[in-house]
Amino acid sequence: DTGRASDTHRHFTLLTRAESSVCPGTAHSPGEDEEKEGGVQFYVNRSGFPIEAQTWDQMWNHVGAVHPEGQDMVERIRNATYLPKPPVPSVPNFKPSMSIADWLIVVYNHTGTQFFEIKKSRPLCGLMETAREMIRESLPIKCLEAVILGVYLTNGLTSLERFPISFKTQFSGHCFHHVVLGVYCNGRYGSLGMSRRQDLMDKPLSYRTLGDLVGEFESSYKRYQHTIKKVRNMLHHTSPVLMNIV
Amino acid sequence: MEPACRKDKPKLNTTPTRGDRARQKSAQQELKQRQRAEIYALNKVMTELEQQQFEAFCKQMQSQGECCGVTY
Repeated sequence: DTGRASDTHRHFTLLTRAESSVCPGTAHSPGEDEEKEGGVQFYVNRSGFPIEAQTWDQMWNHVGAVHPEGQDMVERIRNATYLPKPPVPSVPNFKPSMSIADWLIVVYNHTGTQFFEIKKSRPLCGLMETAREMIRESLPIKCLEAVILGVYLTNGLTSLERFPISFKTQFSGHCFHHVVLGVYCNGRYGSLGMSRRQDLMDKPLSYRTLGDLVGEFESSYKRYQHTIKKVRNMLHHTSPVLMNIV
Repeated sequence: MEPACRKDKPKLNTTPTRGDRARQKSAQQELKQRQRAEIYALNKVMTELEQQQFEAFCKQMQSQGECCGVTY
């Protein structure tokens, strides 16, 4: 048992992914608005909303190059006269006794463009503003955005302690980074998060130790033949800083 | 000598009116809503693609004697 987490979000420390995930055998220097994860390029929207033309076109150019139906798929959507209006979920009130599926409804972002910019240099209050933007705009997100959203939605729950847990894994010569929000309440650990894979995100508040929780993630990663290279959690840090991980 | 005709000179007023601002705001909202609808439509397509690729990968691993732990 690693002991109780530090209390209050005043001591919360956020880990973010390095902007260039380089593993031995790979070489890449990402451009300003693009990053690489697992050897796959993705873009970041830094223009707010509505998304400005250059970023918007970039998104469509990217998916047009990636999808087997290419430009046909792109035009089918962009030229559609009618598109269904996606529902806007209401802001949930989290209680530790609730199952995650009951209160956190988010959609994973597969478009290749990250819609919310996460500035590592911003203080926590700035990141909470980004969380409010995520709620306002209600768009698909990825793991790091989900951690920030999770912090925001659980603020004020004095019985719940939160800390990020980050993973660096390797598969087929590429490095992958992932982060979830570890939670601790009444002697049990769990997690909140977002991932392509269901078993790499939310875990119920049922794990007796942090080691057990991390072990569960390890088992999940093994199913996908990912080797864990590094796991970090900020359980005992007390200074509210934003750190890079490599 | 005729006096200068000040009335012939049009007044240049580039300050947007309240109506202009309201129209611009409305246009921005419409654009955001359209973008959101397109993003969700695109995300649905790309999610399906990712799922297909993942299933193909798992089948390949299964045929090689390794398993992703996915049941079909």
